[in-house]
Amino acid sequence: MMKWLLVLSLLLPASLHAQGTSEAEQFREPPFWLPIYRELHAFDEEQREYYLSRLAPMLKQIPSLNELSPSEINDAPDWEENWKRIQTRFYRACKWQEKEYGPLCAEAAQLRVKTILMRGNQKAQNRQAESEMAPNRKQGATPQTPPSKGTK
Amino acid sequence: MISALLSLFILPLPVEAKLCPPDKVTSTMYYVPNVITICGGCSPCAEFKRAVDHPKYGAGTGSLCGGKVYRYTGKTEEMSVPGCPTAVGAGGVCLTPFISLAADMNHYLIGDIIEIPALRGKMIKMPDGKVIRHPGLLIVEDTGSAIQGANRFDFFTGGFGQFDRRNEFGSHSPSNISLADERKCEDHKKYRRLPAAAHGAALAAIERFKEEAGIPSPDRPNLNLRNVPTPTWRPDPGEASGGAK
Repeated sequence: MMKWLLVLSLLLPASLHAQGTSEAEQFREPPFWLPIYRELHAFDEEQREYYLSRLAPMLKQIPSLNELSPSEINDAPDWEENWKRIQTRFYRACKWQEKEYGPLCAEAAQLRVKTILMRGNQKAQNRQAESEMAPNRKQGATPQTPPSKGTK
Repeated sequence: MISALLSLFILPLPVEAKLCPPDKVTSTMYYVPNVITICGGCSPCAEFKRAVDHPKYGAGTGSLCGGKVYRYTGKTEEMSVPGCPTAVGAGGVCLTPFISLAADMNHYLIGDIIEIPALRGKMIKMPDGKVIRHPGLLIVEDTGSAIQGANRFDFFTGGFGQFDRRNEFGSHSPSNISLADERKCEDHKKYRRLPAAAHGAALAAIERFKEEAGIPSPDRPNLNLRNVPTPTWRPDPGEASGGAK
C-alpha cells in the first residue's frame, strides 16, 4: 500500500505539470480565442480600452470567470499570471462546453483580430479590404471596429 | 443536381482559392516610403505623398525625418518606438526589412516564426547598403485586412517598393528569392510555421539579423549579440516540412 502511495505521489505532480504545459501550448495554436500575453501587453492605450471594454461582458458569461473584478480585468495587460489564469479558464469553457460557449468564443476570437488590426498596415489594398468588410459590420455581423491607426 | 452543378460556375471563388498550395506562401510585399530617399530632403514632396496616399498603390504610411511618420490621412505623428528607422507594426515592435511579415491573425500569433529554407544563407543588401546573411527565418510582426489565409503573407521590404531594383524580394530580384508575384507558387516559396519548442535558437538568429540591421527590439534591451557566438539554426530533420497547422 505504501509502495503504491509512493508511486502515485511521484506520478501525480508530473501529470499535473504535463496538463499545465499542454494547456499553455494550446494558446499557441488556432483557434486563438484570446490574445497571448505578449500581444495583450503590447496593446496601446486605445487598443486596451477597446479590447477590455468588450471582453469584460464576455467574461461575465462564463461561470468560472464571472467573479473577476473590473481591476483584475483592467490590470490583465500588465499582470501575466492573472492573464494566464483567465486564458486557462476561458479556453476550458470554449473547449469543454463548445455547444454552450461556441458563439461567445468565436466572437472573442474576432475581437482579438479586430483589436490587433487597429494597428495593422494601412496600404491601399488593406484599406480597400477593410472598407469592403464595413457594410457587413453595419448589419451587425461582427463587432464594430474603430478606425485603424495603421503601421507607424 | 443541375443547380448544384450550376452553382459551381456561378458562385464566386472563395478567398482561399486564390492561394498557393498549403505548403507554399502566397506572397506580396509592402514598404514604407522614406522622405529622404524620395525627396532628397526632409520636406515631403508630391512624389512622397503620392507614394503614401495613392488610392490604389499607396503604402499608407511614410517615414519622415526626426522619428516621425506621415499617414495617408495627411496627419504627421511621432513614431511610437524611439529610434525605429522603419515603421512600427501591429505587434508594437519596429519592423525589420526582409525579416518582418504581416499575416492573418486568425491563423497566427504576433511573434510566430516562419521558416523559408530557400532564403537561408542568401546575402541581403539592406536599405543602408549593409549586406547581411539571411537566416531563412521571418517573424510575424504585423497584419492587414487584405491578408487572409494560413499561407498568405505580406513581406516587409523597408523603404523599397515592389519594382525598386534594390528590393531583394522585389520584381527585379533573382527569381530564386523573389516574393513579388502572388500568382506564382514556385518551389522557393515553401515554408513552415516553427513549433514554439523551436523558437529559442530561431529567435536568437532573428535578433542577430535585427541588430546587424540596426533595428531596436524589445527582446534585446541589454544584450549585445556581437559577443555571442552565431546561433546555428538548423531545421529539425525529424519534423516534416509543410504549411501552417
